[in-house]
Amino acid sequence: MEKLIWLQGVTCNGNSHSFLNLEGLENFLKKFELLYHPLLPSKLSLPQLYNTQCDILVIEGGVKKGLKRGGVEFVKLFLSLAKRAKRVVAVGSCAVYGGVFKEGDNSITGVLFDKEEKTPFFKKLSGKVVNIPGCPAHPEWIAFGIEGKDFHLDEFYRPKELFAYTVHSGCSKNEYFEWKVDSKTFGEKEGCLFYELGCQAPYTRGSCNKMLWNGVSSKTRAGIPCIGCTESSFPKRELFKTKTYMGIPANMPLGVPKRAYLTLSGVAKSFKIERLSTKLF
Amino acid sequence: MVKVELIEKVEGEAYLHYRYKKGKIRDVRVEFLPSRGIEKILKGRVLSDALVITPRVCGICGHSHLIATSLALEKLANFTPSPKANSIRTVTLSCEIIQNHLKWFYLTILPLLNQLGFKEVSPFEAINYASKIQKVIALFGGQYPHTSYSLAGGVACDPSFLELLKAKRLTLEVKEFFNAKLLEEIKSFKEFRSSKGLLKETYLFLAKRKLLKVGKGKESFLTSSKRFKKGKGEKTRIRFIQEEKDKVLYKGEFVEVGALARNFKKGVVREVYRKFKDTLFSRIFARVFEIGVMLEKILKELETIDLSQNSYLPVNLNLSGYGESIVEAPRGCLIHKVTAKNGIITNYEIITPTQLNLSNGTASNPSILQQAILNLKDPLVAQLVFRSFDVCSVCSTH
Amino acid sequence: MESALVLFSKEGFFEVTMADIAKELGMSVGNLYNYFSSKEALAKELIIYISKILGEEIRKINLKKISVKEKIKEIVQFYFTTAKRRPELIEYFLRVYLANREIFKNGCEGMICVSPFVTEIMIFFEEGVRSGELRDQDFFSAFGLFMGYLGGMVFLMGERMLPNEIDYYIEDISENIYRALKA
Repeated sequence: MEKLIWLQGVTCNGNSHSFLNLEGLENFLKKFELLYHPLLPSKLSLPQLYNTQCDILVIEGGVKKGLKRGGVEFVKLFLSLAKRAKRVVAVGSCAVYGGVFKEGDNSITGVLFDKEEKTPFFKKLSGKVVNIPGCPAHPEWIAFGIEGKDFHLDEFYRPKELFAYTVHSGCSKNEYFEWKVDSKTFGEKEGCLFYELGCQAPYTRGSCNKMLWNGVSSKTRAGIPCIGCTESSFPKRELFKTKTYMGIPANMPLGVPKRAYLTLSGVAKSFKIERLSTKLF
Repeated sequence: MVKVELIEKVEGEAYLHYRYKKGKIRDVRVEFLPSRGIEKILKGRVLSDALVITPRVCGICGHSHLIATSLALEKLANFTPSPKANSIRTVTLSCEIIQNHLKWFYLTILPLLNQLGFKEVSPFEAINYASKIQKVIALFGGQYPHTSYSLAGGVACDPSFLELLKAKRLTLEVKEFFNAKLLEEIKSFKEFRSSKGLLKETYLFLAKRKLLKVGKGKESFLTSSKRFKKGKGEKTRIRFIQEEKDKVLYKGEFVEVGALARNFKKGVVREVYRKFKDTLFSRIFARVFEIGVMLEKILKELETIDLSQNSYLPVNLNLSGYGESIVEAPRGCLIHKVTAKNGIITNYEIITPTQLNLSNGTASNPSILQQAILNLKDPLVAQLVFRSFDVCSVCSTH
Repeated sequence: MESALVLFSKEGFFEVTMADIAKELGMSVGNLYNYFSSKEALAKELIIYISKILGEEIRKINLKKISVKEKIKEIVQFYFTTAKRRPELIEYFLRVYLANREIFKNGCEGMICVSPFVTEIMIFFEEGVRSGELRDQDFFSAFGLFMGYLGGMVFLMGERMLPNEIDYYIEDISENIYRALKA
């Protein structure tokens, strides 16, 4: 049975809690010998972890020099475990890029990346790291990072199985995007949040609308703009307002040339689709 | 004799620095990990960004931070949201409290009781129900943890009756589990003693170990609406809450916050409080009992939601001024204070429940925790008392 | 196309019949209807044709590695030169397309037929603001200022009210537009 350790750097525990929402958690964990998890009952205590051999090391939270965990220098503890592990799963955007807390302390980094730059650990560890960003990461993504295999990794070592998609794909407001019917205000079922209200879903990678959150919904489905939490740029500034230049969105849908987008959107905007410009009910 | 103990799995870790005298704890000081600088991160950002940043203080009570931010911003903008938005917030906040209490009981209290000789209880069924109640948050907020669905102006969602029905169905499922496994529906302490469930078993175990009345506090409570001192109440005013280096005081005095503070004047908890005062068992009872209270509250609130009202009204946040809020988070009073100039945050202060409960006082004026742990001998029992406050390390180190 | 353009711009849309156009082309009316099912359909094709020509030229300017100020001048210069050398292109746009919107209501709503042109103008503005040279504002406030100004000058030229050749005004007009839009 593979041994699993879940270690935390600079974190809010959000991924640990998100992971508890995995459907079939108990059976999933039966496949592993859980040596340490920050919330769940586990075999070892923090001070016992140094130099322990584990097969899978999950790391949640940013990497920060000088931070101590269980009385041991965190970086030292992390490296001692990562060296022996077969796989390191960096869970959450803090462990992947540095995350929210990096905004206040620039020395915080992810395991392989410091925003988009490679960290000093890159050379040694990149061969065994799988990055599962998100703030927090979806429980299914975390489980996939732990037990998946033959990953198709992208340039940020994220499995394409999860991150080849944009958060936009599957959004229940897609029709409003297609026909360029924008939401001017929050709290309405109708309209797309991309044009005015800051939604980053069309250029943010993630499966939020492919596998729903808590099995029931997603931010954009509930009318909340995607905040781009799976990308290295998270958290940007002015998250509830679309950045525009002369009224034109500053960020294009992923991989779509500006000319193509403007041509299509200009045409789509020229029609008034009755069904999409009135209240659904 | 000085002894340092590492306490794990309190949403992070804490070090307890004990001072023993003749085998008894004379003093304890709490040390958490260093601050993560959330208040600094907020400075210089536009006000609405706080709705995304502050939930990231904490993975288990981030939603309370979201609501606290929303209310502080609305106070700053002098705005009152629709009753519908208020009701939806009440529902989701209550859900957060429920999942917190379930995890607290099954993941931090029961394993420790097990070390003291209580039966081993698997946490997975409870975790499953904690997840179930989070689905209700997700129905309105899109996801949990870390939604930002509540905004200055109301809520971003526009639910239909479909969501309300599903929320009710899920809540009833959790209620069924709660009544079957944890605590039956009881109207009095007498009924409790003849009831079945894990809370009752916990009671019997603590009674057998003579632990019911350990961990006595200072009969000094604070809720978001009232301050109680030796049973007498007055209206809570945020300005009386003062944060100093490693302590938070109300009008110069230490206060206990959380489920016991919220419920000691109500129903069966009142009876329990009369019998056991502010002790280990009262805290455990109040918190577990509150799960039932919150479930009822959700069901009631869902009935009152008028879907025809606005979910959200635009609020201009290009403002200068000060806003504050106090929210009942799972672990007690949570205070947010924000100052802005032309829509940009110039100062943001957060005071969390754990800071209130776990202040570092002095020998002559001990904090609530210090008082509660005084004279205990067994470090496991001391840890149990410590955990009875439902400590949140990450919140304290925001 | 070219013949129809000249006719429509000179005589006006309603004055010109399909027969007139056929005559100009030296073909039968029946044959002309094989190409265009109606006069409206022909009018629509013409505006798309113009929009593509204008769009293609502005695209070339957009792709140049020059400052926004220089781009403005090149656009003005291109527009006025076109108005002089091929007045039917601009005249059709101003006197037929903009003046007779009812003709274009089916299949030519909003931006549809002028999209190649408007898209390039959008890109010009977007890149100008992104590079910090132009002030951020609503697209149509800027678009109206730029195109309304140029259209107005070409109108004055057409009415022979300008005392000088239109080239004479390029320098000042480019400067005025730049000053009005700059950051």
